[in-house]
Amino acid sequence: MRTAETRLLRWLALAALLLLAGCGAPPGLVRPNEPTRVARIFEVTAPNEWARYRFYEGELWTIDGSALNRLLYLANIRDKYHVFGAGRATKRRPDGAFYRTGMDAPEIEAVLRDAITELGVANVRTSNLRPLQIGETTAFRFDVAFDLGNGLHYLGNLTFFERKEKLNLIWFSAPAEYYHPRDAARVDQLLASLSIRK
Amino acid sequence: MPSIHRTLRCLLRLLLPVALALTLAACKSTHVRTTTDFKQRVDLAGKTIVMAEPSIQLYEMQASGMLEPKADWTRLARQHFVAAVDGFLTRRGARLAPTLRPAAELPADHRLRQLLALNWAVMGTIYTHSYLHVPLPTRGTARRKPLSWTLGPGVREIAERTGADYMLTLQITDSYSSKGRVAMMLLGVALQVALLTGGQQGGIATLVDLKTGDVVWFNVMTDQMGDMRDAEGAAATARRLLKGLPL
Repeated sequence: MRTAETRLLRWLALAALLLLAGCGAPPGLVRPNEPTRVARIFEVTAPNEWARYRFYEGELWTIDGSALNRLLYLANIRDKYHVFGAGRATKRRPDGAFYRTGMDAPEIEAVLRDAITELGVANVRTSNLRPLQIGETTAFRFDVAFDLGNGLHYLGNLTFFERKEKLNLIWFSAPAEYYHPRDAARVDQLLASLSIRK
Repeated sequence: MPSIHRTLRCLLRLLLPVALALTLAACKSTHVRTTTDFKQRVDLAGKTIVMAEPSIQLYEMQASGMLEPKADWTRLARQHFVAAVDGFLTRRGARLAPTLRPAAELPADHRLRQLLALNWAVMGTIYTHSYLHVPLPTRGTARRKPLSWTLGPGVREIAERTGADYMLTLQITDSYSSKGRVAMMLLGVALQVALLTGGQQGGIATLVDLKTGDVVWFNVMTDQMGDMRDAEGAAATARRLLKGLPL
């Protein structure tokens, strides 16, 4: 247990360093009830304040810190590219969590589940894949649950859609204790306001 | 020309004590953060405090810089430290409840385990955004931000189990240079090739109000001279780590 705690603290420090290294600009603030464009693809209206960290083709939003509530936006994931940006599929590395155009929704769900597992979390479970209509785009959403090394249980959901043969996704996650129950309704409201650039 | 030399000598005389003071200041430091109404709201006199799974680990730094865990030192430090905190609190009218350690057979999804795991996540988050100063605009832009994190009202379960009013969480790592490391450090200086670091002590602590779940106090302590292998050293570490508590 103690090693797991140390690992968690190291993981948080590493996440913070990556956050700093990955940020091209200082973090901004998402104002409540104002439409906000994200990565030139998504537009959402949040009912509450979020801190936003921008990076290439994506953004990370959080209220209390990325270990306590996190909305990850990733845009324009291309054919044969890793869904979380960990390189491209090659002849030497053909297998992995790579997106391929033409995949159906359950296949994309499986790829995303593999990608989340690769992050080093345990007991990744996805369920309840369902279609959604966002404007003229058909998107999909599924529920995600996973555990950290110290047993902290996370809940959330992942929304994805294809646009111009590229994958785009929004992943919400928060600890099941206190933070997910507190934030889930506000995130649902935010996701309900989602519009997608044509 | 002689006037330039005189000026340089004066400047050197002025800068040397400043450099020495800065070096010594870097040896020991604490970083306390509290909620805005901490002094008005929190008074620990007459209250019961429970330590939740204190994480204390002692190492020996090998010549290469590798840290070797030392079980016997760690065991001693855990005994000395808990006794030191108990003494520190008792002298000031507070009471230390028996340390909270969930039974090994308690499942990972049990509420108590989840609360303790969340406690570590919150502590890491405060460390990241308060001590490492990673900006978080939702918590304001001031460098010395007041604490505003919480574990939620679920912590009342810990209060019911332990009878405590506050939960103290701490993580301490302490390392000591081996003879080989000391030789390497001296060799590095003598040959003017490297300034190698030796062992050092570091600790993080939080205090959670078990009625509300709010984290009301946070401290990070570093010390290059601390030693937890004896009762006196453990007491000094406890004093530094518990700095700023309203006792």
